[in-house]
Amino acid sequence: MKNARVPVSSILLLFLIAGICSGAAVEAANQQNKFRLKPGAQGKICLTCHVTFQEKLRQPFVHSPVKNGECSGCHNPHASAHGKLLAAESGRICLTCHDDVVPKNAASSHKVVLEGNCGKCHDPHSAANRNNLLVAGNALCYGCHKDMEDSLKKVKYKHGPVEKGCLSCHNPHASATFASLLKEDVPSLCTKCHKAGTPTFQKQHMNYPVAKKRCTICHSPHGSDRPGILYANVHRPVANKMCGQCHEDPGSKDPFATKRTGIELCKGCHSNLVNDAYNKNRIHWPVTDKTGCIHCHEPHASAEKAMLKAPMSALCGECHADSVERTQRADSKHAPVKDGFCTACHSAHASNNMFLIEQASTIELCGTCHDYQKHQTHPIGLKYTDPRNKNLSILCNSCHAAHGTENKRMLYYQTVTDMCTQCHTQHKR
Amino acid sequence: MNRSLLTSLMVLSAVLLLPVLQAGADTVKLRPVVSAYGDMKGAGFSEPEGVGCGTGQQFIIADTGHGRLQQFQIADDGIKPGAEIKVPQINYPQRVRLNSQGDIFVLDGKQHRIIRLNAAGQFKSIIAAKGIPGPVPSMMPRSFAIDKADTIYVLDVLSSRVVIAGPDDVYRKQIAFPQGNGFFSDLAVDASGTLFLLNSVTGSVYSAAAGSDVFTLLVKDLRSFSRFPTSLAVDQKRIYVVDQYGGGVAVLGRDGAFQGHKLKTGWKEGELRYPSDICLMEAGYVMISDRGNNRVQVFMLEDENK
Repeated sequence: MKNARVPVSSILLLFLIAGICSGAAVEAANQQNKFRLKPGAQGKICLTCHVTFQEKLRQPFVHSPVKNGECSGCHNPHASAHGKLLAAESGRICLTCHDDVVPKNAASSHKVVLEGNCGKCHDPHSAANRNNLLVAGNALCYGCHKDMEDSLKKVKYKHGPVEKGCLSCHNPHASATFASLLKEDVPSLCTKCHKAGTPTFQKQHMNYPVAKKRCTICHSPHGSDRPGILYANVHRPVANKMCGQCHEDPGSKDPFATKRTGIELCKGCHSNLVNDAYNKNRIHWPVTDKTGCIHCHEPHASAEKAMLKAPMSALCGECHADSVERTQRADSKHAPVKDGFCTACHSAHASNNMFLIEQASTIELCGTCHDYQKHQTHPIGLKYTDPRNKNLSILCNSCHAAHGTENKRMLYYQTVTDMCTQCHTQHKR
Repeated sequence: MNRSLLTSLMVLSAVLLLPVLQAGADTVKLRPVVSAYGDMKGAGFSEPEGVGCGTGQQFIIADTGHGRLQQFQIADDGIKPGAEIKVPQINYPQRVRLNSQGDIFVLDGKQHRIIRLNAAGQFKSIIAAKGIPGPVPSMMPRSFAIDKADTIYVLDVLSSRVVIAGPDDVYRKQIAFPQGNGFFSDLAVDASGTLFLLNSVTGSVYSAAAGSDVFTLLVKDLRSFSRFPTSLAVDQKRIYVVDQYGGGVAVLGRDGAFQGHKLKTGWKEGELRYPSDICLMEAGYVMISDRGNNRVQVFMLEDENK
């Protein structure tokens, strides 16, 4: 074999690469041992003081850095601006490794995750449960979602997967594409178990091709007191399986099309209610457009009374957001407003009076709950003219804001003096 | 500090202040002039919801709670009540507008129709936009406007459209509401025929130039400046949006830029409680139906810096 001559430049290049590699290796080693612990000291050195921590290490599930003795992965052994000598803010420290728990632009995210409260579910060191969870199973979720636990205890029919575990349907941290942390969207999530092609399924749904519709329009996904886990309040035609009262025939070209649009459809059964509304001076405008009743009501089933789409305050707040927000900020709130019971004073459909108030006079309206004798020393009533405006009478809302204010007793002004001297100007100082 | 640095700072300040000064020069205030509390017999108004301005000195109040109209004239920086108009076809007047001939158009909230009266207040017809296409060949008017050429624009909430009819009440065309949520509560038209449409829930204002078949977004969300915008009026320089819950008027430039929130909630003269309608007169008068105070207030548009 002929001796090959290696060029000097190649040798130099090799040395350079070797140098870079060894430099990188040293840097990596330094990173791993940035506190320059003595060989073998890593992890063990912390335990010399934190002796009770040994117990933690004996738990069945130990966080990998803890298992590897990398206490300084999360804690600074000397000093820190954060509690527990954490190397970063407690809400962010987990993200240094687990930065992928919430996908970018996630469709829904668990609030505790966004707030960085990982410790509400996970023990950062070790736990008796998989994934270092503080508590196993649904009990962990019920720690915050107590109302769900309570309602599930009461309901007659529980959805099987709920009993199996919340994670049957939900992701614990976030869902990249679906609302409510769902693993898949409805109905595909549902049809994984509930096969849409079976004769029973078809019979239950009156042969309407519901497999591509949102099951949660009618069914409570967690459980309910009604067979078929239907929501508590079911529209009578649905309960009676008379879909054809509103929809076209299941075998037709567009089976879900309604036979009429807007209020005209609802009028078929609710004619008295509709006629009554249209005979009033003022109608709630959403009633009149082509969406009509279903602006506010579910047409099939609802967990809310009167088949409202959402609790009343939230529903009204969809349009009257400003009123709801201001009331939330008010220190003194009118009780019905506080309870989200807007229809205590307002008619949802129509009225002869301004603001769709039920009674013509605010005196009458307020008097349904309040006793005027408490104001016997102050003239109130239509015969007393408001000194500020000759076209107004002294009524309850001359001094009190109907929804509430930042001031005591729902007064418009901060002090009683300020309030009274609006009219009794001679006493103003 | 050396002279060149000082000069530079002065130039920079001038450049930075220029837009502010320009904006200041362009903004207006609403000076309270007088309020209309009732008719010539002294009978007070009840929740007057609408006010319409004529081409001259005339304006008409929709005295909603009393189911009547009341005519007024501007006179020597004051107002003079004219005749009351009460016709059986009108039960609950919510909007009133006048055309160039002095005909009076009234939206009756109870019967959901627009009634046309002649200048003397006699019933003429019910606006139907004859020949209006379906799917529903009728209208549920929420509001309406009339331009200089007496073209009628009806905000039809039933079919989510603005229906345009000629002075003869014959259907001309329709413009669909913009897609999206919310609720359209008022429209206005300027001298050049540009149409403005207000969404109260989203606080958006849309416009459609004369001849256009679509609305385009002009203001995305007014709610930072107006708690619940319910009606609007427009002149050659500005758009005036009545803030029902906030008791005031949001003033916008024609480009939609916010120029200020005028007036405040209250009972006194110059203050508003749940105002519901607005109209403008060429002489600079602004009429606002101050519904919660049972009156209509007359303001004068003035330069803010005056």
